[in-house]
Amino acid sequence: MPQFKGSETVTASRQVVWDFITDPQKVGGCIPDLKSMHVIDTDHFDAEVKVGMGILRGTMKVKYEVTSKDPPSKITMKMDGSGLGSKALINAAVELKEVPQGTQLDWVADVTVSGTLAGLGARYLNDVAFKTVSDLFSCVKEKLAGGK
Amino acid sequence: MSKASPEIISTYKQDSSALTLKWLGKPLKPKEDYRLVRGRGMFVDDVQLPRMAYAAFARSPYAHAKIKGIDVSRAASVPGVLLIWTGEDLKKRMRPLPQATPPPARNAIDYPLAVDKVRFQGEPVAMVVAESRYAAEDAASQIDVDYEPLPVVVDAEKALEPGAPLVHDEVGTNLIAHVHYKWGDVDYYFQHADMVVEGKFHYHRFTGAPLEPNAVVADYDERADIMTVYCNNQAPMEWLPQLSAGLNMPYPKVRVVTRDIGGGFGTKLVNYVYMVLASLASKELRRPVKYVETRTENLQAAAHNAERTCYVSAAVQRDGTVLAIRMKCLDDDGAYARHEPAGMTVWAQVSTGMYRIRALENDFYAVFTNKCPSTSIRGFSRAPHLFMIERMMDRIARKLGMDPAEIRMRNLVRPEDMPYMTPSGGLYDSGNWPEGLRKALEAADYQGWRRKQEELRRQGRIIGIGVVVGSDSAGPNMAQVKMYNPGLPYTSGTEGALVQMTPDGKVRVTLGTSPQGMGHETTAAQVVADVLDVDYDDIYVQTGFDSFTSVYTMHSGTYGSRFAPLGLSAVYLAAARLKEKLAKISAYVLNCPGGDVVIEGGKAYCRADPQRSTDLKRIARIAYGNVNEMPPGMEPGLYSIAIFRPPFQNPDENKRANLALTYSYNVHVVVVEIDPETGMPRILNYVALEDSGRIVNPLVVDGQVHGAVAHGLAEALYEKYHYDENGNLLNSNFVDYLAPTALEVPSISVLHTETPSPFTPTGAKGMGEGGGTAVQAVISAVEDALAPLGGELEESHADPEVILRILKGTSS
Repeated sequence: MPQFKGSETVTASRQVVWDFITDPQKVGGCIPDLKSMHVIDTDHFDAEVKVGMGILRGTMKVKYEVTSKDPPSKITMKMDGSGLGSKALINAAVELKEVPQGTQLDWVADVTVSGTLAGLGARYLNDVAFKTVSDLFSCVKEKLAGGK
Repeated sequence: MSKASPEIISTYKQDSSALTLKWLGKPLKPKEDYRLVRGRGMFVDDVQLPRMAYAAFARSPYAHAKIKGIDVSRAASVPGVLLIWTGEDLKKRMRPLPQATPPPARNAIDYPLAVDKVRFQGEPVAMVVAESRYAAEDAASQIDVDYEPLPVVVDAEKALEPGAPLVHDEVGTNLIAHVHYKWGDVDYYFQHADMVVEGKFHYHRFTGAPLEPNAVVADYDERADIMTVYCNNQAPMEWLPQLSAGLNMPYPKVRVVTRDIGGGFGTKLVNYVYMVLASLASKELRRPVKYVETRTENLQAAAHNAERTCYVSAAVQRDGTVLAIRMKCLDDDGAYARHEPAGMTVWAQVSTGMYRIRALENDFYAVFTNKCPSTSIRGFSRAPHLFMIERMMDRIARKLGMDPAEIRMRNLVRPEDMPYMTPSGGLYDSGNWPEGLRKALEAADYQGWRRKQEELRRQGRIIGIGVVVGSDSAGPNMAQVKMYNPGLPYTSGTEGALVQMTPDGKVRVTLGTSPQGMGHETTAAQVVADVLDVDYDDIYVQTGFDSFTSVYTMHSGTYGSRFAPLGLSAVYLAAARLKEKLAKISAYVLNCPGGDVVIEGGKAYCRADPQRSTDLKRIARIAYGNVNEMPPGMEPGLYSIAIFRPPFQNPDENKRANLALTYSYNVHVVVVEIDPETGMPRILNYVALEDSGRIVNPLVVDGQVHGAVAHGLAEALYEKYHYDENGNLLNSNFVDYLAPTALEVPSISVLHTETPSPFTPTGAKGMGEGGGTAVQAVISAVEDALAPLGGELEESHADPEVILRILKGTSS
């Protein structure tokens, strides 16, 4: 599977962005189509998300884990999803830089999908995966717009 | 590579004196169709039993991964769940499935549910049985498996490289088996030939895609201590030993039943894994257990054909005579050797195609990869092999500037050499093949199309003509598996039948075969009607197979185009014996002079005095009830059982043997036009000539030809499995896996020549698989169309993308 990249400029200070993306409740709120979540600790939570791709629709269980932190500029995380006879593994890294407008959020994500989803969605899987990850970060931008 | 010796011919020659030829060859209405076209077929999913429970599976999303743990707690809490088994639970209840492979591949441990690791995407990891299919599916989706993904190997050649991921760690290599064949003086011909022509070919991965997926209902009757397994397996007797051992129940306690089967095409030879699982679960729960695959499960994990890659060289004379062939081949058999590597040897019988090729060498490897296990899909192994030979013929013709029909005519086995012995010991039984080729070319207006092709090319239209010859080698000699594993306890290839005249004068027939739509009820009834000379409508052939009532051998089943050569031969023998007994009783009852009686038209009469006659119904009543009217000492009843045993020998020390009883012949001539915008070929003309020996029922034979053409052209143009580098199957549903519909299948002109086989009593030869001739023909035509651009096709599948690349000159 390919690597996806994106960048958002958030009109908020780096500390505000950092606090947001390291708070499971807040990050969870930005996961697209979230059905429920259960926070274990600051670095771990379990979530259930709705997935729909072509004729395959249902729920995936996602285990979220922060794999490294370098406050307030770098964080890496792993999202391990399973369900619908499939596995989706996302390894993402986020870097925060101070810029005149606020904070620049650069993200990069490796997505590996196995199982029925990979077969069914062979032609549009990349688009769906990219959209899912980029929606998450554009949500961060929207929620923090104007924060200090 | 010459006419067979008179001694060999005499061992194979069959007596056919009981035929009257009154019922054979007639287009009688197929007996099966009346119920099938009205939706009254009886398939496994139609079996409804009281207290029946339903199975569903959790399957692997990975092509290769370690199972670190399985948590079934969420699944177990789903209301209605009765049983959940993982591979570990199964290990306690059964031994691993037996391996037919030689060591070290034999060390592979194969259970119907994955143990320790998964080896292909879609492999069952856990089974749930519940009160309803809904509950079972819901629970299966809530089984949490902790996987550790492992490196994947999906390429057969890479699988043999040092350091390749091992599919079975306990085997220590991905090599399943290796065989080296050398027949005739290959080195001499290569040294002295005018030229050597080379090619590399790949026979792609596809499946049979039967409309009815794998299905089973296992019903353990605790009171009788009998396990009844309703299944759609093509050869249930092959697997009864495993079932019996797994259940720890003797054969007389395990009843295996097939009824109508909605197509098999080889995929249903290996569904015994579900038969074992459902049976074990039924015994555990003391309830009937049903499992029916979904389409995705069927396409992903039921059975694919083995992919084959061959590097071929041919020693050729300037006049087009092909002297010898040398090959190195590699079969990709997928993750488990459940049926394969049998294909390494099955092909040997037609290794030189329909041609007088003098010598052949093949260095043959079969390997494991992280893909669905393979089996014998329609045209099994002969089709890929004939593909290589036919592609080489086209290449040689182009190199020599010869017409593809001419080079075939030059090399075809001649009628005066029949029965013909191939370098590998194959015994081609009969036929006038050059005549068949001439007839097909004429019917297709081959020369006219060649002229038209030139004209249309000048107008910018892309026309191609394919001419290929092929064989449906049929009625396999099972001893061929000894070529890769001499220790296997299989020899010959037999089949059984029961023909009983019941006390009302009607005739009941049971077969050892388990047909999937091939018209066995019809053709068996025609043979019985023909031999006994009774009305076709008075013959009742039991649908399907029942191990409690059918006469069987361990070879029994429907595979390898074996019914006409083996099954119908058993039917013929049983009917002929019954006729003899009827004649003896009739002669006694009628007191015919010299005991000379004639059985004709459902009656018996004295030859010397035709007025002294009786209908057979009276004879039947006597045989079962009024037995003191019978000849003294004769055993009452009119049961006739026969097992047909062909004179097959085991392969000799040079791996030479005849591996099939009959060799049908076919010629396909196809004209295609390629759309330059889309690369899509359209079929303009399709002629299929078939010589399958004596035609028992032309409706059945023509139907089989249509099916083989539909399947073959779909393989060439539509059906292909795509795996990505991680072993994800990218087309596991009918949206992406393009099985043909009526719209894709053109009108086909079917022609016949009819050369009865001297080696079967009915003269009929096996047919139906078609030997992949349609694949060869379509690819040959597409390549012919692309030839002016220098385009050659390596694969047996040419989708529009490949064709477009050649048209645009971006690939050759």
